Amino acid sequence: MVKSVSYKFSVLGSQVPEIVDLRDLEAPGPMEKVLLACSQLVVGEFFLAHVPRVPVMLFPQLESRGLRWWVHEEADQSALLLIRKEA
Amino acid sequence: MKTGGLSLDQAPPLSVPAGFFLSIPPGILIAACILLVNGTAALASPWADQTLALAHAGTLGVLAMGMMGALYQMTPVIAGAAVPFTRVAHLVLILLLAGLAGFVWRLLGGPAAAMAWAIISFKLSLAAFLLQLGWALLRPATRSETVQGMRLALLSLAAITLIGVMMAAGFSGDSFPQHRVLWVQIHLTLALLGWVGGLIMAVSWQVIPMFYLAPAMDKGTQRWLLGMLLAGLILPMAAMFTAGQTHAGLSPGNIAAIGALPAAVVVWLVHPLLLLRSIARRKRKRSDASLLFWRAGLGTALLLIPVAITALLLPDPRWQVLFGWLAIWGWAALIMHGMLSRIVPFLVWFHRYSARVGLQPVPSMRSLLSQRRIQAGFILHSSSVVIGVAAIILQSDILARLTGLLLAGTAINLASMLIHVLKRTPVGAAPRGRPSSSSPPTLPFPSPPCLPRTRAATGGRPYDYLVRYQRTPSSTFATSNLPS
Repeated sequence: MVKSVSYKFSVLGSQVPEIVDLRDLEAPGPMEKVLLACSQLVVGEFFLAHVPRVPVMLFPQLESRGLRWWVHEEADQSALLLIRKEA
Repeated sequence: MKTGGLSLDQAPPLSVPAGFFLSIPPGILIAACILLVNGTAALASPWADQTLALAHAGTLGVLAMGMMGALYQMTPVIAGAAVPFTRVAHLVLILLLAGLAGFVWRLLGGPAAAMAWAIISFKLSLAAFLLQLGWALLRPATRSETVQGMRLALLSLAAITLIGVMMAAGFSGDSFPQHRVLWVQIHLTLALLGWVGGLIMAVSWQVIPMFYLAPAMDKGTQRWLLGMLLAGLILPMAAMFTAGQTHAGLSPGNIAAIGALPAAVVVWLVHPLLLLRSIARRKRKRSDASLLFWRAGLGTALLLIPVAITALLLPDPRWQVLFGWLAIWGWAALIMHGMLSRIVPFLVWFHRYSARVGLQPVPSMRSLLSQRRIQAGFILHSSSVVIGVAAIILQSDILARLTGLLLAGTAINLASMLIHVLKRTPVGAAPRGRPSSSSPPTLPFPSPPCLPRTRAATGGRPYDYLVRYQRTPSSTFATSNLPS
């Protein structure tokens, strides 16, 4: 899984953070958990989550907080979401 | 890659869907008053003016309000296309309400001028709505099956508006069109199966997995359902070539009804069964009062084909009234009521609280609306459906008026529920409409200049992110908000 994640997100290199699985949460649970986790990120730190679907409504929230994000949709329509706090 | 500015600015303000949703309780109250005043006279024949007024209070005053509000909200998110001139939605709502008032007034004995006023209002309101939503849905960034369903629903609305306006002219001093029964049948098919059924199907494919963690329906099945629905909407048109003549013992109205069978089977049999199965297989079987509405509405859908066939075969007009009652107030309105009890708290949470998560304590979405309040709404709504059925079958005046009372109770409960949720604001936020020193909250994160925030800033279409999604040929895709 680590290899697969670093392949999907080349920005990670070999340092793959733990994947937080949020697929078993009803809306807006995944959004809430991601925003909560992101509020605790330090500069340069990554947060990686597996969410039930591409979180279209979350992206503006991430951008308004100055966070960079990468998303990779899986074949089952769930998505891997990678977030980094910028300097 | 850039996000292309998928921004909160692109989503409609909460006041747009909220205005439509808050107009639903008055629509229910109008229906309640019609029953309270007219009793069984409003439930005796589908051709009685009071029955037409009751049916249209349900379709225009309740269903259309919820569906139009939902489309304004969902189109930017699901189709990835901003609705142009979103604020025009307020005018659309006012004109729709004015049209409904004139329409009902005329049918309950008002002057012919009331219907003329209603026709003008409906034309303006629905034309503006169709142009706005049509513009967004004709150029979506993603062409998912849900978007195709929304397009089909919108096309059906355009057609029923034309037919409806043509027939309403008969109440404003002009003559009814030739073959009125045939036009009514086509109007009914497009309204109930195309507009209402198409949208319920399309929206359920998004909402059920998202809010209840139920397994999503596979794309192939969704495409098959849409294909059958389309066939069932086109085939009834064949009856227009009969020139009003009976063929093989079948009237043009009956031919149109038979043509609609593929759509009816999809909307009222296959889709409800698949959705009920999906709900039964959801990952977390947490009790949720809004699911009561879904189950009851989908269960009612299963009764509609047998009742419709009985109404076609038997001359007793009560079956036609029963069909309309179950379709409008049972199936469609129950599902809409359930969706409102889930979507409105979600929208309030998203618009008012999500930006504060991690910065201050934020209530959970479920805590915005108590399950008891939703359960009370379900008891009132479902009992009005059941008592209404008894009133139609027994032609009991007392039961008809009791149904009116229950409808009034449903309206009051729904209004109180909507107002309760929509009034919720975060601690420290100023009352709505006034500038606040604490809203939006001060973010501890600087917004980097490299991130495009608005459509103007990117110089391109909004939702560029979704355009890229559509154009990626592989089964998976990746994107980010990294600057180029």
